[in-house]
Formats: sequence, C-alpha cells, structure tokens
Amino acid sequence: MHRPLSALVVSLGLTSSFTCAAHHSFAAEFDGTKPVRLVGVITKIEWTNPHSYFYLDVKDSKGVVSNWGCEAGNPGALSRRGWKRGDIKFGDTLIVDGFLAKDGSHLIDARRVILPDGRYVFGGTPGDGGPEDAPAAGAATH
Amino acid sequence: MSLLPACEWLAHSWLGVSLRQSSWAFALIEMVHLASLALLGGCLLVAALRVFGWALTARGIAAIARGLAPLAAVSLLMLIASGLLLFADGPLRYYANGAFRTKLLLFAAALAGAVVTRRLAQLTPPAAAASMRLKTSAALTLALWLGVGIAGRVIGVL
Amino acid sequence: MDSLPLHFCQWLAASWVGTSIRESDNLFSVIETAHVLGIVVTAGLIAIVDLRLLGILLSGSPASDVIRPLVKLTWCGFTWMLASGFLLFWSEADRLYANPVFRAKLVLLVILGLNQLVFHRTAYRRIAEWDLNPTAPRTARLTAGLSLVGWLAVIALGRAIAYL
Repeated sequence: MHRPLSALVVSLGLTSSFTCAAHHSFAAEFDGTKPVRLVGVITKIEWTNPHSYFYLDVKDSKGVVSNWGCEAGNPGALSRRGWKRGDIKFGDTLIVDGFLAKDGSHLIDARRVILPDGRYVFGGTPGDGGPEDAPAAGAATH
Repeated sequence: MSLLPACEWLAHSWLGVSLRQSSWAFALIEMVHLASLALLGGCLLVAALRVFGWALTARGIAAIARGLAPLAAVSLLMLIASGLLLFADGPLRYYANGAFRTKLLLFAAALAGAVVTRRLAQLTPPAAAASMRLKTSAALTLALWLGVGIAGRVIGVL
Repeated sequence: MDSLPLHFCQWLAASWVGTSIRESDNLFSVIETAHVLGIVVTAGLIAIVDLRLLGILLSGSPASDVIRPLVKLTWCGFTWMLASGFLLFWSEADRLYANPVFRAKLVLLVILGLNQLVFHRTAYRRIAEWDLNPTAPRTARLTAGLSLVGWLAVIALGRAIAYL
C-alpha cells in the first residue's frame, strides 16, 4: 500500500521547505546570559500590540545620558498582571531588570519592572521562550 | 503525583537548554506545529463534510474516512512531536499556564472524539447516510479541535 | 522622500480604528487568533485538494467530487483571511509597510492567486476527461505542487513577520 508512505514523504518534504525565521521572540533577539539593570526616566511610552515599549533616559557612571528601549508584553497580558496603561507616565523613574539585545542596540527585554509606587511586575512577553525568572538582583547596573 | 520534578528535569536537560538558546529552533518548530495543525484540520473538516453529506458524496463515508486516515495520522504525529519540542523549550512556564493545561485536556477529549467518530464512520454501510450518533460525534469532535486551537493561541496571550 | 503608499500606511496606523486595535487589551489578540485559525482551515482544505490532484490522497474519489465543494469553502476561508488580515495590517500599517517578510508574503499570495487562475483556465476546463483518473494531468499536478508548498510557506512567512 504505497499511499501512506507517499503521504509521509510529502509531509516530510514540505516541512523542510519552510523559511527559517531569522528571529525567535526571545532567544534570537535577546541574550539570556547578559542581565542588565536600568534605572532611568521615562521619555516615551508605546502601549501597543503585539509588544509594549517604553524608553528611558539612563545616566551611566560617568554621568552620560543615553536613551534605552525596553520591550514588554502586550497590553492585555500586562494589565492581567496588574500593570495598567496609566500606571506609568512621562518623567517617572523606573527600575527595569532585563536582558540585553543581541545586536548591541540600546534595547532590553524587560523581565521585571519596579514601578514608581514600588510594585514589582513581570514584563516579559508570554510564550516567548525567555527565562522563567528575572535576572538576579545583583546583576550589573548600567 | 506532581509532574513538576519532571518539568524541572526537562528544563535543565540538554534538549531544554539547546532549544532555549537557539535563535531559530523555536520559530521553526512553531511553524511545523501550525502546518501540521492545518493538514490535520483539513482532514477533520473534510471528514465532517462527508458525514453531513456536503462533499465527496460519490463514495461511502467509511471509504472517505479510510482515504483520509494516512494524512490524518502523519499530521497528528507531527503535531505531537512538534508540541513536545515546544513544551521542552519552557516546561515550567507551560506547567504554570492555565491555558496550556486546558489545551491538553481539550486535546485528550478531541482525540477520544476522533477515535469514536472514526469507529462510527467505519461501521456505516457503503450507500448509507450518517446516523444521528455519527453526526453528533463528528460535530462535537470538530468543536473540541476548535477549542484546542483557540486554547493554543491563548497560551501566547495570557 | 516619503512615498504616497507610505504616507497612506502612516495615516491608516494613526487613524482611530488602527490605534484602537493596536492599543487594545484583547481585540488585537482576538483578530490575530481568527486570522491564524483561518489560515489553518483554509490552507488545510487547499492541501487536500492539491493532494487529490497529485494522486496522493482520496484517489478513489472523482476529482470534481473533491474540488467543487472544497473550493467553495476555501473562498469563504480566503475572505475571512483577507478581512482579519486587513484589520491587523490597519493597526500596524506603517511598520508592516517596510517589513520585507510581510512584502514577501503578499507577493506569494499574488503568485498563488495567479497559480489558481492558471489551473482553472487550463486543466480544470477539461476535468470531465480526467475526473476519474487517480492523478490529474501534468499542468494540474504542477499547479497543485506549487499551491501545496506555497500555502505552507505563507503560514511560515506569516509567523516570521512577528520576528523581523
């Protein structure tokens, strides 16, 4: 009976014809071995699907200010964790623990965010394959 | 018996670690998972269409079920294999995810439904229309598979 | 210099509809789910027709018995895909405009549409001749093969959009 065999061959052939995506949500874009803590002032907020972004002006040890982006989950996921749209505003100071973007740009995947009122929130995108926990509290401060 | 220790073991195993570190493995496996679902979905939908007498009516219900079986079996195997690999990428996260648990329960029910429907289809005489029981089973099974698909999407959103 | 299409995409994204979807708590996810499950059903049905034409599946059934009812359904599926896809595009038009994976997906959809047209204008016209054969004529097998690979590639590209 050749039909089941050809069905198998066709299916296997098809799977190998897929485009290999350049990115995977977490592992391709961010480096799980490079934890970072950012402390900065909010300059821009994008409360959007599929990812939210907020941008911080961060002062380094020499006093030089640079702007960093933080990528977080979608608005629905964040609000289910208690982090609502209006909870952060321009000029607020945030402490964000996350992992550095692999391409060296000023972008982190926000794993844990400490809000102005002191609350901790998990910022990650659900189902993205990233680390279960936020980086250790003693991670390098940028 | 808690499955948590098994999940922790898997998370730290060679497989779990390699998957998490790979730039492309997760996305590629996700695509295979979706494609397998498409092929399986096609089989289930066409089988249901035949049961209700809306397509492929030149041949009997049992014959159509037999004809779709090879592709259904292969795509189901690919679905499970890719699903296991996706799970291995983050066992602890999925273990804690309510949508994932719901999906597994619905999957088990949908599989049972498919087995029952297939059996009833095979017992249908060549020129006969589907019995009420077969129609109900087919419709319910399809609804369960839709539930599996939706639960799968909710995993990524919760 | 910014082009007219880009301006239009920026206008779409900034509009009330685009912004509401983009900043929604759940609406975006619902539309996205409808889109993904839609392609699963549509591509699955198309795959079954293609496999019949290739003589791999259901070759005991007359080809027309498989093609006619399923093609009707795939048109419904395609409409569903276009509607949900357009809403998703509306919410992120300016970003997607520049996304090479998205552009590749659109080009592929056009190619698949043309491919479908070729099948209907050639081998399908003469279906009475080969309806009961287990495999379809050569041109039909070629268009079926392209369709099979192409639609699975559409699924892959659709997933890849998010990652670029």
